[in-house]
Amino acid sequence: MSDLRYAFRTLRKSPGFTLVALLTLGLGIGANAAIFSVVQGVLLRPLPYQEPERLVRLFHTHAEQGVMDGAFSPQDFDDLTRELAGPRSPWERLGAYWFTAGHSGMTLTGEGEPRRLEAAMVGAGFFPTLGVEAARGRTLRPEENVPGADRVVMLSDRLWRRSFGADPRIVGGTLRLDGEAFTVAGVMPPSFQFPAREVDVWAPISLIAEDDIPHRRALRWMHVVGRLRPGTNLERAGAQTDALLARLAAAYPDSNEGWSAARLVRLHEALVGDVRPALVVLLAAVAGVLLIACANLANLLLARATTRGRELAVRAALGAGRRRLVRQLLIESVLLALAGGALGLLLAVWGVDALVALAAGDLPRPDEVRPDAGVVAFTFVLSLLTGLAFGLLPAFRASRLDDLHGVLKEGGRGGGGGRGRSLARNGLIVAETALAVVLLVGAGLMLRSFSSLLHVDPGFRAENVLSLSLTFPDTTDAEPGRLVAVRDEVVRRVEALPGVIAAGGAKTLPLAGGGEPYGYTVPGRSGALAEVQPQAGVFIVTPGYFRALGIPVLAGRAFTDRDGEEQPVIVVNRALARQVWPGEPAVGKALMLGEYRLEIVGVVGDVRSAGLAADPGSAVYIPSTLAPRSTMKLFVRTASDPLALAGAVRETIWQVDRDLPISDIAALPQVVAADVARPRFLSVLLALFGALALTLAAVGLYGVVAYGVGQRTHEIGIRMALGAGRGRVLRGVVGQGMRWTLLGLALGLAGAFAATRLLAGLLFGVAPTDAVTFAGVALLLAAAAALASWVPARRAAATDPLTALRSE
Amino acid sequence: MIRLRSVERAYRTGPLTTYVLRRIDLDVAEGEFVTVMGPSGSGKTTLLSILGMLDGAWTGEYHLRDHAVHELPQKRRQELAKQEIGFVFQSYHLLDNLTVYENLELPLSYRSVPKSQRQAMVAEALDRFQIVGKKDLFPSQLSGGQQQLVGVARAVIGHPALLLADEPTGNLHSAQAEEIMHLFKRLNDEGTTIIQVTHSEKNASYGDRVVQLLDGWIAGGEAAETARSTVS
Repeated sequence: MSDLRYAFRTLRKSPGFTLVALLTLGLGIGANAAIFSVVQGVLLRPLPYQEPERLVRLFHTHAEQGVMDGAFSPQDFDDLTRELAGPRSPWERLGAYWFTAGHSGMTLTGEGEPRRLEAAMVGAGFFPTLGVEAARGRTLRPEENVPGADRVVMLSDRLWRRSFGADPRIVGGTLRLDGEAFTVAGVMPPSFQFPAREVDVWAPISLIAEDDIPHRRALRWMHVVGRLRPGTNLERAGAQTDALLARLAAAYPDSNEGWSAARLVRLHEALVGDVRPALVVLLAAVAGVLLIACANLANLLLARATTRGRELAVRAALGAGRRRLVRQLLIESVLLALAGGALGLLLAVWGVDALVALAAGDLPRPDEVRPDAGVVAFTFVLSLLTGLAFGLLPAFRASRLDDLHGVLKEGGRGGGGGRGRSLARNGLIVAETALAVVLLVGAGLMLRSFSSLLHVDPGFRAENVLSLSLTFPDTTDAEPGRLVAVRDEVVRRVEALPGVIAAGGAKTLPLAGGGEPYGYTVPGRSGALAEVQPQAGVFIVTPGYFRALGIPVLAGRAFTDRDGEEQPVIVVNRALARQVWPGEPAVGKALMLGEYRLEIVGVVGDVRSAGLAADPGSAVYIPSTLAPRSTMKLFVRTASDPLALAGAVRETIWQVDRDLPISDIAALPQVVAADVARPRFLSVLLALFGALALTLAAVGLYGVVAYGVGQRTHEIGIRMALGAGRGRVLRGVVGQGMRWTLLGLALGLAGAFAATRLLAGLLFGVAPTDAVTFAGVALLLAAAAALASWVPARRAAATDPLTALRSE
Repeated sequence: MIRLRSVERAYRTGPLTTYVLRRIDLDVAEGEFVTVMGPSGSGKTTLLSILGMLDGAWTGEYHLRDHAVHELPQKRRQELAKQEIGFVFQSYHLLDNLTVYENLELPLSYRSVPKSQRQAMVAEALDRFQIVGKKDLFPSQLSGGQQQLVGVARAVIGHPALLLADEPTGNLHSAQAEEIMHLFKRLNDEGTTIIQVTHSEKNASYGDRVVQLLDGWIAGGEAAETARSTVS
């Protein structure tokens, strides 16, 4: 207790030191706490389902085609469920669902403006497999998941609160979705956000009619989630599932040849696996920053120890053993660290929201990210460890009183602490410089990667393009051709607006996916070439699409209004043309898609549909009249600011059909920005941490050099009295500071060379050992170190020899 | 109480060995008040530091009561010093961030004396030295004499058998110095063995005898005589 009281007083007596230490610790520990909040919420917190460790995502795979995350056909799923039932089955339950953001929606009418809701279509086993109950009402019953059954729907908690004011009476009430009356069976809990956070409603998968998605064994569109039987491991489940799929491949060679295995991934891993590397990198970065802060503080304490030499010597003379002295000094540093940790926790609470916002929707499970008891405990433990980390070396050094008698005799100063402490201080400078280099190299690489991404040609021109989502009434059965007519009229009228250069539509946003994968064959080929069924991404587009998006037509032509049923043609991209007909023109040739022979009328430039960082891949464009879809993304190229025309475009669309729901109105550059959200997130944070590390390292070096100058004032005075000029003194001091920095730099570069290989998967267009980055960081750090050394060196060079000689 | 035989203290600087104390033989009986005197650099403070076990780099034999200090490991010596010895410094060496009360309590806490007992002992010391009214003051709020008074109180609070004082009045004016010396005399009368280092003849007169040190030797001592005759 007395040590604690004394620690308070000692810190209070040095407000400058204490403030600097608190700020340093607050930033260092706070950054760690903030990133840990994210890691805990995203990676560590279990999924909010019953026994979530037993939940698994199943992916249908085709090794030859390189498909590792395929879906299942309804028939394959039925066979899985039937053949893998029973007590010997590794699966307790299996559930199917279909959801594609932006595609599997339902239009809500009768509740204000018509609105497009994101809908997940789920099978009878979906909710039982996940083991989740409705928060209000109930989940779907099996008998509601057959064609012709009463239409029911589940609402998400977010939709219930935002659109229905959390009215409990909605359960059992009726909603109009896609023109049909649906009964609301229940509302799901706020934590239930599967398969995606943006899902507004869950509806029976039986509503997907043959016309919507053909129920053929060759068409794989059902996603599957399974619950392992207790005690079953993933390997055994995989083996038994693979065995069944192999039997199906043998039994149905036309549709299932090659689709003879499944990839099983724990559901948690499937949801967060791809963000894990980025979060681990961030965690390592903030740990590095904290270590640098610890080294700084340790150096500060080592310097302070010399002024406390007398106090410690008196305590030893009064009977304090070394352990007692160490304990007392450690209590001071732990107290400082705990106070810094409290400040850091406060900063983390504020910072977490900013972090999630910076991730711009790219972070899975963002609602789970919050500072809670776990984060508080982490911060507390980290603070304790930090206090020990930066306090231990100075405590041991300071308590080593070799010349008690000498210190007491001198009446106060314990000298500079001798060579041992000097070595410790310089060693810390080397360590923190090395760490700063590793961090800065990582930040530099991410920034260059991000810059490379931004300079990638996406294959289209996003500037001055407005994009929006439309859902057309699917009245194909009652009024065949009406969907196409309405759509074409919308596009025609929008294109006629003043200020509009071109308008066109497609099913998907550019960069949002590689198109619907479809196998094709080349007519007239035989032998081995005919055996291979490569896949291309299929895009369904209107005639004005290429012009609206600025995708260049490299050969032949784009689509016209006449292309469609009577004139079944396609356009391919350059990648496909080169792959299938290297050195030959593709225009005039044909491809077989299923049983359809389609002539190629044009070749367009490659678009990076799967994202800026992905290769374009083969693409086939089909005129929308051949395969009309009820949802469409409309792209409007304007002469100036696209958002300025948003209102006019909307009004024009509603002139055609007042009940058309319009959503997701945005300027297309925002879409491009969203694609680089994760690299931007990483780059910004790493750059921030790198800058912090550089500042801390430079301040640390300044402190040590300044302290050294103070200790050597008498020596410098003698040298100057003997004839040493200012320049010589300057060079001497700077040289001494730089010596240790250069050693740290060399070690850091070596460490970065090894460590940055871990970043390889996160980089684009830049190697982990990029020489420009390494050289740039070395120069930057050397410059910072030179500046940090030069400031106290200038002071030393301005020493008055007489004054210095008197100050002994 | 104390028996030193051939105690020597030297400092090595490269090939050179500089002796601070040479073949010191010294006997101090229980209850004696011994003054060590000599010119600057004669080794007085070093001798006191060795006696107080603040300096362990010496050779020879040192017996304190029944303990052969020269045979004890460093940790055991520290324990022995805690129990048997109190030290008064010329510069008082009070801890600036502790109150008078806390400064007095400090050596007791290092001996793991239970809190209630510490409180009683500190109260007794404050009363004995008539500094109760100053118990919550910090050293910076006291005069030099008062600080040294607290230093003496701290040195004797654990009732040590031996009190060592290194120039205890060196930083005090004459009135304060006299006060401190009277206090030493009283403690000695109560049975405490005292060894003081001083330049002051007046202070030396409070003691029973004087030991003169000269160039690290005890002047007039057998060892010094032998060395002198060897040289001549």
